[in-house]
Amino acid sequence: MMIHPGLVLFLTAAIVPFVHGTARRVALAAGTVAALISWESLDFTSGWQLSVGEYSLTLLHVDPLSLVFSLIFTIVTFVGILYALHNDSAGEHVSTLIYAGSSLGVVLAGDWATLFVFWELMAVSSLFLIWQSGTERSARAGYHYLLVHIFGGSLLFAGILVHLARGGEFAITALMASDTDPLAFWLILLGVAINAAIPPLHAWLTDAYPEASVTGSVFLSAFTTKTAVYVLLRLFPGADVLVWAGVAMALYGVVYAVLENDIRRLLAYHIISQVGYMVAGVGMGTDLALNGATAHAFSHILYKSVLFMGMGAVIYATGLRKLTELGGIADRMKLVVILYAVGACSISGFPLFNGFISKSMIISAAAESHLPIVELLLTLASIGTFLHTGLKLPYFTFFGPKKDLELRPLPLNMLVAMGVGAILCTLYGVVPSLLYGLLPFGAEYHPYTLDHVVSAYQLLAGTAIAFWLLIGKLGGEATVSVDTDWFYRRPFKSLIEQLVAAIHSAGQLASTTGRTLIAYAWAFSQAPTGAGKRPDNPQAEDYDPYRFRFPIGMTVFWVVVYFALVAIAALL
Amino acid sequence: MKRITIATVIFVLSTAALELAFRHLAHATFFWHKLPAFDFVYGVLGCGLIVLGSKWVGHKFVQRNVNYYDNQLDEPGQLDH
Repeated sequence: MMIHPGLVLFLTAAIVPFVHGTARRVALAAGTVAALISWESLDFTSGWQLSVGEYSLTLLHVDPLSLVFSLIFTIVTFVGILYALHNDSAGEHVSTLIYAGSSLGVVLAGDWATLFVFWELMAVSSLFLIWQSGTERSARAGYHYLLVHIFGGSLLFAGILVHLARGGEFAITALMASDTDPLAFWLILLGVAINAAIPPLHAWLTDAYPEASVTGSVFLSAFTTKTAVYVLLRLFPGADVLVWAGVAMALYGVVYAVLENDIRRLLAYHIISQVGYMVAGVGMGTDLALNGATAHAFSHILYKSVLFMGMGAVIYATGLRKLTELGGIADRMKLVVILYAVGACSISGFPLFNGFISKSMIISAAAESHLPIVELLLTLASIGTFLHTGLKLPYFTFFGPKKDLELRPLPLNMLVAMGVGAILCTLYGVVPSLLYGLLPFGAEYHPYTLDHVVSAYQLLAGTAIAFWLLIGKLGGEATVSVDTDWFYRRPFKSLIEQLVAAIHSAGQLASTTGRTLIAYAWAFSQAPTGAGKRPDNPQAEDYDPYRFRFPIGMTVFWVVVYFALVAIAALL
Repeated sequence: MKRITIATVIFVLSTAALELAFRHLAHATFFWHKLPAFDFVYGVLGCGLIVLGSKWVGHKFVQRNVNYYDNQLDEPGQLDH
C-alpha cells in the first residue's frame, strides 16, 4: 500500500505543537524518518484518487520524474529537521513540515487542481519561515514575498483556468507550444517562472531567503525553486525560451554574487545561478539535458543545504552575517570549515563530489545539442560559482583578517546534520550510479572520463590562480546592490503611498461632507422649538418664533388656495 | 609566489600533455575541446572578466549605500567608498 510522504509530514506537523522538549524532538525525527520510509512504498502501478463533484483528483501520482524529486525532498527534510532539532519554536517546525509536505504534494500531484492547492500552501507555509526570525527586515521581506507569490499564483491559476476552458486535459501533461492555447501556455509559464526565480522575476528570493531564520533558510533553499524546476520539466521540456533564460540566470547570479557582502544573500544569488543550469537543461529538451536538469536539482538541494547550514552555523556562532564583519574564525570552527568545504567542492564541480556528476551533464548536453555559446556561457558561470562559494566566501568568512569575534558553541545536531549532508554529497559523487539509476529519461552519461576530469581540474585551477591575483578586489563592500526589487521598494512603494494618501483624503472629504449633511438633516428632524440648538452648533441663538412665522403662514396660504381650487373644480 | 608559479606551470604542462596523449579518447564537439589547456586559460580569463566586469557594473549602476532602502537618503549614482 502506498503512503504519501507529504501526508506523513502533515501528520507530524499536527502532533508537534502538543509535545515538548525531548518528546517533540523524537516526534520530529520519527516523522521525517517515516516520510523516508513512506517514499519506499511509492510505486508506479497505482495512485490516490478523490472524486470532488464531476472532477476526479489525483492526489498521488508516481512516475520516474516525481520519484526522484520526492526522494530528495524527503532526504533534505530529514537533514534540515536534524539541523533544527535544538530549535524550540513549534511554529517554525509546523511551518517547515507543512512547507515540505506541500512541496511533496506538488511533485506527486496528478492533476491541475491538486498541484495548484499544494503550490499555494507551499507559498503560505514558507512565508512563516521568513517571518520566523522576527526582525523588521524579515517582516518587510515577507510582505514582498507574499505579494510576489500571490501574483505568481494568480498567473498560474488564470493559466490553468484558460487551459481547462479551452479543452485542455485535467491531468497534468506536457504543454507543447504548438498544441496549447498560447494564453494558457504563457500564463502558466510566467507563474512557474516566478517560483523558479527567473530574472527579472527573481528578486523575492534574494530579498527574503537571507532574512529567514538560520534553520528556516535551509528549507527555503531546497523547495520553492526546485518544485518550479520539477513543474518546468513536467510541462515545458524543450521550450526554447528557457535555454536563454537559464543562461541569463546562471550569469546574473554570478555577477551579483561578486558584489554581495551578506553571506546568505551571496548564496541566494548562487541559487539563481544554479537553477539557471536546470532551466537551460529543460529548454534544451534532449534526454541528456532533461536528465541533467533532474540530476542537478537533486545534487543542488544536497550541497546547497550544506552551504546554508555552514553559513547558518557561522551566523549562529557569531551573530554576524556580513563579509566585512567576519574573518579569522577558521581555527575555532574547524569542523564547520571542513563540512562547508565539501559543499563548496560539490557546487564548484570538483570530481568525486555530486555537483560534478550533474552539472557536467547539462554542459555536455549543450555541446551535444550544438549550442556552442550556451556551453561557453554555462562554463563561465561555473567559474563564477567556484570563485564565490569555493574561494571568496570561505576565505573572507573563515580565513580573512582576524576580527576578535566571540563565538557561541554550536549545538551537536547542527554539526551532525551538516555531516550527513556532506556524506551524501560525497557518496553520490563517488558512486554516481546511485543517482543515475533513478533518472527518468533514457540517456547514458559517463562523468569520469579523462577529458571531463582534466577539463574540470584545469578550469578550477585557472579560477583559483585568477582569484589569488585579484584577491584585493574581492573583499566585501558595505553596500547594497540594487536589483529588480528596486521597482517595488521605490517607485511601487511610492505609488502605493500616494494611492493610500489619495484614498485617505477621499475618505476624509466624504466624512466631512457626510457630517455636514447630517448636521443639516438633523435640524429638520427636530421640533421647531429645539431646532435652534443643534448639537453641532451649541452656541446658536435661542429659538425665535417670529423667524418661522412667515414660512408657516405661506404654507397655510397655499394649502387654502389648493383646497379652494379643488372646491371650485368640484362645483364646475 | 615562486612555489605557486612553479606548481601552476607543472600542473598546466602535465594536464596539457595528458590531453595531447589521449586526444583520440576525447569526445570533442567544438574546436576548443581539442586545444590543450584551454580550460585553464578560460578559467583565468573568465574569472578575471567576472571580477572586473561585475565590479565595474556594480560601481557604475548597482551598488548603493547600505541605508539606501531604509532611509532613502541618497540618489542613484551616489556611493560612498
